[in-house]
Amino acid sequence: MAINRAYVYIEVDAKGVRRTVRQALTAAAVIAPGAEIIAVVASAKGDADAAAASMLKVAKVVQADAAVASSQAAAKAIAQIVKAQGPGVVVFGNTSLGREVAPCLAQELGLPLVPDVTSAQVVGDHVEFVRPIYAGKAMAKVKPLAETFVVTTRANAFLDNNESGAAPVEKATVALTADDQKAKVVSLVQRDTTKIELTEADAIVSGGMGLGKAEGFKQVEALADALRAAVGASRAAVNAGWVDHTQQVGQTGKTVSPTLYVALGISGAIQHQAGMSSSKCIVAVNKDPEAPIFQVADYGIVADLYSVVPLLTEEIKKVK
Amino acid sequence: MAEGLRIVVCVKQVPDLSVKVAEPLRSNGTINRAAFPAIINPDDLCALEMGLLIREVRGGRVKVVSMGPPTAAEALRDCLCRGADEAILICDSRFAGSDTFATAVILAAAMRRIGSVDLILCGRQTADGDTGQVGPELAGLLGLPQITRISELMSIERGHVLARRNLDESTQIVEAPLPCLLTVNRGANLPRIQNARLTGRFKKARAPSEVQGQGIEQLRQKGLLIEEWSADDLGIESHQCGIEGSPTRIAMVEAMSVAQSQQVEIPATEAGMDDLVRMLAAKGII
Repeated sequence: MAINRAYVYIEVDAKGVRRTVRQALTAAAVIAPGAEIIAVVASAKGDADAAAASMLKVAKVVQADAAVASSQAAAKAIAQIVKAQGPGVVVFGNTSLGREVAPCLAQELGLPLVPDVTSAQVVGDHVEFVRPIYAGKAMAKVKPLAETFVVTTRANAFLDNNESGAAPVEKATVALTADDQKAKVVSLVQRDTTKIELTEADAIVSGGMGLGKAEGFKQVEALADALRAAVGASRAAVNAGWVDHTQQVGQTGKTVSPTLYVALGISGAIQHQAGMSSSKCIVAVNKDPEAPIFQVADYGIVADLYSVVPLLTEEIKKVK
Repeated sequence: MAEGLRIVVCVKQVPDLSVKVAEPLRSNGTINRAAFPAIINPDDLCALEMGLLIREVRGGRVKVVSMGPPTAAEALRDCLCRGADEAILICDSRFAGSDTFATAVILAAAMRRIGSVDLILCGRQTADGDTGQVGPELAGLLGLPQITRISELMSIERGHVLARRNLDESTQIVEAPLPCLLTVNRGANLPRIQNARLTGRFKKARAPSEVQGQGIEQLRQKGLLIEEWSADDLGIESHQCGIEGSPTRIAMVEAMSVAQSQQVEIPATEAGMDDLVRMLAAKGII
């Protein structure tokens, strides 16, 4: 039961096709070895997104010829494209948008959905996925039973090894009704895009209540600069107004899996761990030796962060 | 809408994994669900709170619906004690093993049986499965517009909802006409605790399967009956629910972080930091 086609849903940011989506292309090749990989564009700015997608190494780009204003409309458009092009798996990056469009599409096509997977392996005539459950406390092996399915891939779980290409762009006629676009975005505030997006960063330094005050984030930023890392925060630090919500890591914030996660003054409640425990290497600094963050840390430093973080920052600067 | 809004909140009972227990794992390495206290999924509590707040301002009724085993009636009682007007348990042994898709099919049938609804509220995702799928799939099956992962309900006027949601790189304000489905983020509000007066009354509320069908009429007369709907009540066939109706299969569950890798403790000195940086560099992490 070879899968002939793999569709990948394209999301574009200021830097081009989003890194999580580029990683989803890698996942698509793992899930469906040898399949034709088709980049699907169904967005409000279709032409620009299709142009960005055409620079990927994919068989082709299929662009919905209608402006798509809601996730439900995007799902309807992708469903029509999949029906017209032929059955295949549909792969999404597990971004906040992908996470919303994917279940709508799965429902639309009547396909199983395996969300937020961290690995994939073809076993006989099935694909086996691994995904974290119970807020990362356990891993589930999940097997979709249908021949085709929908999957979303966790950021940084797969490498971005897509080479640049020159893929042809094909426009597909899709029929969307006013009913499909009832939920409308009426205002959008884009955050500063010069910063590294948290979910796509290789290294993250996060701060929590242990910093004691908003100015404490200068310590976090200094270490992050030395590591060329993104800056994250615990929910408590966000609630205290020290940093913006877009920097929140955890169950109600973002799920990240960078190569290196440094937690400064974060106690590491299960809700925070849910957002970062799949990081490859975790370094924690906390005064409290009983802090739960040490349960998931690879390297633990029990100390006052104000004394130790400047030392660590200096040592990092020597090697970077 | 002089008569107020018809609001339905979907809740799920989940194990509270933040509680330390003696035996978190079974011998085969899977999570020992029974060892953990059962709670209402935290995101769902925020959905309930949102429903109750809307009712306070706009009037109307808040119904809570939960699909689960007979023990899920405890979660519904909890909702009644916090202020929900009515509770419905969706319970049938044939539902066991349903994945998110089958669950959405069953909940959609329950919504149709409830009849006209203005607003369906769900938590963003559950603390056990972490899928976040049931809400969007339910909206799709019912043909309703949806706004997912909302952090703030800004207004609900003239038949429209205006809500704020935080995405990876932006904040959106989204508008949708009623009826619609919203999924609510934890932290959107601070859920109220049980009300003492309501608890005094509703601690005696029971679902039929909790009392083996005994004394149902008396419960109903006292307003203490938790409605209970089976697959037959909802017109759900066996092939649409349970394992048979579920296109995804969980092959096995392995515990991860509970079985800890050895942690290296680094002394808080310059030499310690030097060691740490060299170890990270040697592993290619920095």
